[in-house]
Amino acid sequence: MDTPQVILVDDKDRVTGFIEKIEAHQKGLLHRAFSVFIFNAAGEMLLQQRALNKYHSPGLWSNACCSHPSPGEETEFAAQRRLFEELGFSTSLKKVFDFIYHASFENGLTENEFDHVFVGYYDGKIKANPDEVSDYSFKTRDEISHELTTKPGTYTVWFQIIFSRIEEWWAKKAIR
Amino acid sequence: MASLEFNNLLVSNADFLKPFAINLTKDTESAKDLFQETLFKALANQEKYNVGTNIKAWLFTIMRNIFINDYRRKVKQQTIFDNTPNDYLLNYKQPSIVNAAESDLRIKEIYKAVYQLPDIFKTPFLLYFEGYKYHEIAEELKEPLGTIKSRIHFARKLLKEQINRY
Repeated sequence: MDTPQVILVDDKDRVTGFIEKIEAHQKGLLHRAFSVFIFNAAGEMLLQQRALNKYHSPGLWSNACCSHPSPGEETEFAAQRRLFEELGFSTSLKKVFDFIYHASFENGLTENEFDHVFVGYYDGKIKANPDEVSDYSFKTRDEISHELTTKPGTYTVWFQIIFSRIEEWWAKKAIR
Repeated sequence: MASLEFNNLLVSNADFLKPFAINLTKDTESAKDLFQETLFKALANQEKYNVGTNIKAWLFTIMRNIFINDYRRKVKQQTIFDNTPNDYLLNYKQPSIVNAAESDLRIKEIYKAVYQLPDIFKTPFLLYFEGYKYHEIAEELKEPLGTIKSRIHFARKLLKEQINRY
C-alpha cells in the first residue's frame, strides 16, 4: 500500500502539491486537514477516546474525528469517510469555519494545518471501530471546559487548541 | 392468464405507481403521461408477465425503464425500443416474491435509508438510482466525475450497512 499523502496548500487553501504525511509533519509544511464535531439533540458534544494502540496520543480524549483528505479527495467526503470508519455512522455535515493552526511537539513533529471545521447532529446508534476508538461519550460545554482546566492531560493537544475555536462558535450558536 | 384476469390484476395494482411516477418526473403532468405509458406497455406485453410473480415490481421496472429511455432519447435522439437492457428486463424472469406486502416493505425500507443519507451522498445517489449515468450526474451537479463516483460508491456502502439483510 502506498504511504499516505496529504495535500499541501497555501494560506488561502489553494493546492500547491502533495507530499507524504510524515514528511509534511517533519518539515512543518502547511497542509489541508479537517475536524468533525458532532452534537446530540441535548446540545452535548460527542467525544471519542483514541484507541490504546494508536501510534500517537493513545487513550486520550478528542472530538468526533480529525484527519487529512487524500490528494484528489474532496474535504467533506473525507470527513464523512473518516466519521464512518471511526464511529460507524453518517450524518449531514456542515462546514462552519476554517483556520490555520500551528503547533510543535516534543517528538520533533510540527502540525501546520489549514483546518476545515465541520459540524453535524446525531442521536442514533454509534458503532465505534475498536481499532480506532476505545470509548466515546457526550459532554456539555461546561463539562469539557472544566476538564480541560482540571485534567488537560486526558485530552489530545490539538483538541485543547481547537476547543477554544469551536467553543466560540458553540457559545454563539444556541444548539437546537 | 386470461386477458380479463390480467386487466383486473393490473387495475388493482396500478395505483401504487403514481407516487413513483411523480418521484421520477418531479412534475404532475409528466407523471400522468408516464403512468399511462406504463399501463399501456404492461398491457401490450402482458404475455411476458410471469403469473404468480410480483406484479408491482414488474410494473415498477417497466415504468423506470420508460422513464430512463425517454430521458436518453431526449439526450441522444434514440428510439424507444432499441435498448437491449429494456427488452432484457421485460423478458427477465423475476424471482417470485409471493408476498407483495413484503416487497413493499423492502422498497419502503430502502427509500427510507436513501432519504436519511447525508445530502452530499443523497443527491447523487438518487439520480443514480433513477438511472442517470455518472457523467450525467457530474454534469448536473457540476462536480468532477471522480467525485461523483466516490460519493455514489460510498453511499452504497452506507446503505449496505443500514439495510438489514434477512
